[in-house]
Amino acid sequence: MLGRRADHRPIRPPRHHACVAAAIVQVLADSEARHAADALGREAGVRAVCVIGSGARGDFDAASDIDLLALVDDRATADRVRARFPRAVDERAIQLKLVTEAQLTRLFERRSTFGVHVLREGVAVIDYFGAFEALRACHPRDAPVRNNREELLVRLELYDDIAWCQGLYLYCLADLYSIGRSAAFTVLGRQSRFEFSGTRAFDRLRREVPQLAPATERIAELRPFFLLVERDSRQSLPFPARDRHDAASAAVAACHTLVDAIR
Amino acid sequence: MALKDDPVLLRRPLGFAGRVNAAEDADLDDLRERLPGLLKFARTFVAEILAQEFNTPLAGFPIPARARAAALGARLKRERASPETQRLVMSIVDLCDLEIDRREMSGEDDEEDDDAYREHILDLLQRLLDRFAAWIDRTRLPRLAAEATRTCQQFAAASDRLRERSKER
Repeated sequence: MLGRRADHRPIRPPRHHACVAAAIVQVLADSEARHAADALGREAGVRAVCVIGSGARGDFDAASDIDLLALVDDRATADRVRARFPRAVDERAIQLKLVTEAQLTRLFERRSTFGVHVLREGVAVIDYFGAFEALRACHPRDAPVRNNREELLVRLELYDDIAWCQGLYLYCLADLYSIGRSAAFTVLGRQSRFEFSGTRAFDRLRREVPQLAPATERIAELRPFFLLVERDSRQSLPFPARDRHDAASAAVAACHTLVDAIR
Repeated sequence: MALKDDPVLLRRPLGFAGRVNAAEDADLDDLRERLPGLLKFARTFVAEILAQEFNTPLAGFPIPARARAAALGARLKRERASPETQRLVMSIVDLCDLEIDRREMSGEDDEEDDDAYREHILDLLQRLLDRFAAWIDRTRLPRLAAEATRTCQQFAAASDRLRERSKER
C-alpha cells in the first residue's frame, strides 16, 4: 500500500474521567472507531479517513456515534461506498461524511464550525497519499469561525410563532438545542476560543460570559430532546415535551439571546 | 390518540417558508433560502402522523427513523393497507433518504449541491403533501383534508415560481 498510515496508538488520549467506567467506554469506543476507519479505508477510491466528533476529541460517551469523514476520489466513489458501508458497528451507529478534494477545500475555506472542527480536531487515521494533511496544512487553525448569525436567525424564524406545533414540542426543542449549540460554538469561535463539544461549549460560555449563563443553561438542558430526535437515545427527558408552551417559548428566547451575542 | 382536525398543522410552517401558501408576491430568493427549514417542519409533521395514526414513534433522524418508517411500510404492505396509506409512509422514507444524502454527501457552500438539494426538497415536500392529502381525504378530518388539498395546490404553484426564478439566476 502506498503512502502513510497512522500507528496504532489511541486515536485521542482520553480526557480525565471521573470514573473508571467512563474511561473504559472511551477505550472501547476508540477501538470501534479505529476498526470502522480501517474498514472504510479498505474501500477502493478512499484516499483518507479522519475520525471526527467526540471520537476525535476523546470524549466518547455511551450515546456517542462514530463520526468518520472520508476523502474520496469522486462522487461515483462516494455513491458506491455509501451503498456498501455499514452504518453501525456492534450497537454503535456510524455517521459518514464523504467528500471530494474540492469539497474538502471548500469546507476548510468556508470556516464553518464543522470545517474548523475537522481542521483542528480531526484525527487522520488513514491518509494514503498525504492529501488530507496537505490540504489541512494550507488553512489556518486559529483564525475565527465564520459568522453564521443570519443563518441561525432564519432557522429561528420557524419558531416565531410556535402554535403550529400544536402542543407537540419534541422536535421543536431538539431543533432549538441544535440552533443554540451552534450559536454557542460561534460566539466562542468568533474570538478564536474553540469548543466543538456542546457540553463543553456551554460550560465555557457560562464561565466566561456570565451574562449569557441563564440562556446557556436553558439551552443546555434541552440536550436529551436533541439526542432522542437525532440519535434515538433513551436518556430521560428533563420535562415532558408535550404541552410545554412555556418551556418552548423560553427556549426560543434563549436561542435569540445566544444568536444575538454573535459578533 | 389521533390527529386533530385543525388546519394550523399545515398552515403556519408553510407560511414560514416565504408564505408559500399565502402570497404570490413573496420574495422568491428569501423563500429559496428558507426551504431547508421546511424539513424541520416535515419531521414534526410526519412524526406526529406516524405516532398518532400508526402508533409508530419516529426518532433518530434520519437513519433510525428511516428504518422505522421502512419497517412500518413493510408491515402495512403485508397487512394490505390502502395504497394511499402505503404511499404516504414511503414518502416519509424518501424524506429520510434526502436527509441522509445531505448529511453524507454534501460539501458546504457548494452552489451545485445546494441547488440540487433545494430541488429535492421541493419534490419531496410536494410528494409528502400530495400523499397526505390523498390519505386524509379518506379519513374523518374534513377541515384538515380541505387545507391539505389547498396547500398542495399552493405549494405546487410556489414551486413553479421558484423553479422559474432558479432558471433566471
